[in-house]
Amino acid sequence: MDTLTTIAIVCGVYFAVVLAIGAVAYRRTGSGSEEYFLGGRTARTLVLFMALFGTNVTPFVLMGIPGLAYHQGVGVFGLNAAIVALGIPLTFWLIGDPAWRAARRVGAITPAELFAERFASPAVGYVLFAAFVLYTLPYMVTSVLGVGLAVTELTGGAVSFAAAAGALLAITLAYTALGGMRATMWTNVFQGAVFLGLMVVAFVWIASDYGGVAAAMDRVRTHAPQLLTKGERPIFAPGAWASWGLAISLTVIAFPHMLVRIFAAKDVTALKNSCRLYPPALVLLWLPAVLFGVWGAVELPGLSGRESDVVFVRLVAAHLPAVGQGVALAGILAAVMSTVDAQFLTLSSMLIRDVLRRTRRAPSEAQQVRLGRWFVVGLAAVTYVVALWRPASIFSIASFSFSGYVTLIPTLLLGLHWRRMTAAGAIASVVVGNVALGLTAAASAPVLGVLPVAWGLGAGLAAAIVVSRMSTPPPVDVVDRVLGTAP
Amino acid sequence: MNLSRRRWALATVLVALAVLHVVDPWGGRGPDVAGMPWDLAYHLLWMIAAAAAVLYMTYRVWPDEPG
Repeated sequence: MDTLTTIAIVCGVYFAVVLAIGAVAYRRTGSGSEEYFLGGRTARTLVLFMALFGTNVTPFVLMGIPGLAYHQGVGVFGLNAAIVALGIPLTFWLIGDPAWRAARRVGAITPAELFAERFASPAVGYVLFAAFVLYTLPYMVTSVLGVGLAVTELTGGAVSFAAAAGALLAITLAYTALGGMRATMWTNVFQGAVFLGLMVVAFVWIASDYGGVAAAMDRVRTHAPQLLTKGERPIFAPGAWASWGLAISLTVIAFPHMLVRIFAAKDVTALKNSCRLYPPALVLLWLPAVLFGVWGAVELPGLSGRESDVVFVRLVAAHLPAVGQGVALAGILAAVMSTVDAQFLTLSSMLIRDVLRRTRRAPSEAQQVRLGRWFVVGLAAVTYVVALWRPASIFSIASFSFSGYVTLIPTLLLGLHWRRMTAAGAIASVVVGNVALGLTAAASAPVLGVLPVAWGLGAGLAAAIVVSRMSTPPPVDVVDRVLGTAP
Repeated sequence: MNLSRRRWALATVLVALAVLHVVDPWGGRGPDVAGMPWDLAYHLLWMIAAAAAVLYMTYRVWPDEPG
């Protein structure tokens, strides 16, 4: 059996399992929007953690990070992985936990809906919906880009980028549109196991080929020693390092698809356990990702710019047997599908709950679910078209999205902890934060050595405080209804 | 130790970790650790400390009671 056939069979098995899980979830999903969009808020530790982690892992980690480490070296690990091991659990506690409690109190299904209730202002919901869509669409594109590149590389061009991206979106659509949140969370458990297993197996296999990890590192010391230190690279300069650490730590909780998964938690124990599992899982995933990039720089020199996004896939093709290559492709598909399904479902739920439900002819519960399914189809089509255009490298597109999400942090954090914050303050924070982000991003170099994301965050925070102080405080009963009675 | 003190203890640890994330006291010139170059090993060790802080936060500071 040739390599291509073996890869196709392994991926076929993977797709069959995912669709089977989706079909079972479809049969178990009751009627109503809370069942469809939140799986009835019943996720326990394993399902919740795998859903959160699976949603969190995209080609940004599996391909973008090796691609970046290929050029920048081992410092990429500290720049990205280390700080999120602390940042994600911390933000889950400071924002995720009170948001989860507030969402249960008022029956909110989406983050925009929750904050529209908190400020008694549909306008806040509209602004958040617009911002979430603006930054989630490019993020979805990075996922599809990753799969397209991986398939093209591993099949030697036998399957085109367009066909691979189209097939991925079609299958993700099938189980997401039918089974809703329950289907996406259950499939995420399987998908998370596939891509975590892939990284560990690929790491051991490739390192063994080099004669062990120590021998692999010796090869780098001999041929590319500059990759073993941070050196004087601009991305590791203190200002850029600190501001990127801020961005990547804070951005995850502002992903609407992460917040919605947190809303699906059965209890606070599930959320706390997920926090405890994050640091070891990050090491398992990110350490190999960075080392693949560094090892690839020695084995596959000469890749420039975004070409390095394929370094992991090329290492897999060079070292793993045909079955391993199939598993690698399935792992990349798993990472992508476990994120894209959540993004589809969340954007769809926000359109229904935060926009259409507030119109004069609000849809019924059954209509909401039906409209949600059609919106998912539309989103898939837009994502497909933009992915074919491939506007930039995976890391660059993800950076844009991450920075944008961070501008929403002042609204999320202060809205849940500062009872005096007003709707005007929330809207001003989002608008001013994004204007500051845009202006500083347009500069040719980081302003005062600090990345645009920090300017966006600072401006958003200042606007939230100043405008809230200048506007009329929200009614106490409105705030109490969402946040609970003040202690 | 009451909850307020535990929160202060956690806040202190978090500030220390944030500083240590940005500033490597060895200036990137530490020794290799188990075959890993210092700039990688340092942040792996930092992650172990961060994981301990997360355990402290979830067991001792984050309340269980329903809101």
